[in-house]
Amino acid sequence: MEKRDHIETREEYRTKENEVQEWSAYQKLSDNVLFTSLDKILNLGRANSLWYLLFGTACCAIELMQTGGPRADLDRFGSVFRPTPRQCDLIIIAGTVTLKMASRIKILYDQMPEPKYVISMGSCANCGGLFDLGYSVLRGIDKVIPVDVYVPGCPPRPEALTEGLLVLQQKVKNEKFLVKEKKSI
Amino acid sequence: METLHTRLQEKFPNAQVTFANLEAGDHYIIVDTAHLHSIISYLKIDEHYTILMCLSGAEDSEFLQSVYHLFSESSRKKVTLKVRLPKDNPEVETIGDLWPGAYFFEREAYDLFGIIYKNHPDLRRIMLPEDWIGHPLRKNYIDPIQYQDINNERAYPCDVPNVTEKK
Ligand code: SF4
Repeated sequence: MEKRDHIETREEYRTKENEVQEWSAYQKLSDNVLFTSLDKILNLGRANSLWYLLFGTACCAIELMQTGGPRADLDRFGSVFRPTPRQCDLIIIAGTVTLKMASRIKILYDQMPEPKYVISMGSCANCGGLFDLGYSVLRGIDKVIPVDVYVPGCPPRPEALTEGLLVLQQKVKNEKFLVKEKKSI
Repeated sequence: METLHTRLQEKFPNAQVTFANLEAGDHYIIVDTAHLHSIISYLKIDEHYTILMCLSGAEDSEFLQSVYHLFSESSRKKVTLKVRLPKDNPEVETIGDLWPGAYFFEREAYDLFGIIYKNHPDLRRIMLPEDWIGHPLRKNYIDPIQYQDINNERAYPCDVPNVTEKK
């Protein structure tokens, strides 16, 4: 049997092995050129830096804060909040939307630069939810702005919202901006 | 409160002041619309009901009501006053000159019940948008389907396409 001069823990051994592997991969690739399509590399950047607007309309916003907080930590997917719509790619509609608020949300959405995405979070934003028989409540944010991902729940857990973001990332990665759409004749 | 009621009757012999004695809940005094302002200012200044706890609107089968809850710090007593207003022309004097905070309560009652407070300096809607039609807490109010350019109709149960179908 092979003799070792000192005993390593399993973790130590693994990290060492990983380091060695990474280093050798780096050595192999450093003199090479990788080919990818421009679309893919652009989408990769876009998908991993979806900045969302710091905006919530009701109780779902509390859960949105949790998702941005240290435990669920949306930052690790490259998603951070911005306080102005002009720097945002994503607006998360978190909470009940009243008819009065709907026109304001439309303005916020219009101020965001293209390409822009919308996540509708919670039953209220999806279809009116709990308050849908109220005289002042908008029955679904999709009546005002187009929605990419619906997250069900009342409120959705941070995990659910994170899942929503990952689904949106998948969608963003599959988009083709630089190819003209073929016209169907 | 009954003694207060008799005092009010003595003080304002022309006013209709009726006392409603309930089995449960707060007793209340129904006062004349024309004398409301003078009665409330008498209560505030002479009877030391110095705090306006709440001002609200209500509707029953025949009348709209404006309801005033006063509290006296010195005697630790509450009194509830109501005025009855006809539904087609609900007008009552403002009490904002006694408690400036009442202006905001009155705007809310105007917003949701359409009660007009005379001599109010700024009787606008406070919560609903300015271009809202109707007063939503009235019993004959019908919820709007269209607001500005938003069509607020949704069929139930939702006819969403079945997207989660397993392959
Ligand atoms: S879906 Fe539930 S938690 Fe979210 S805003 Fe509506 S009521 Fe609040």
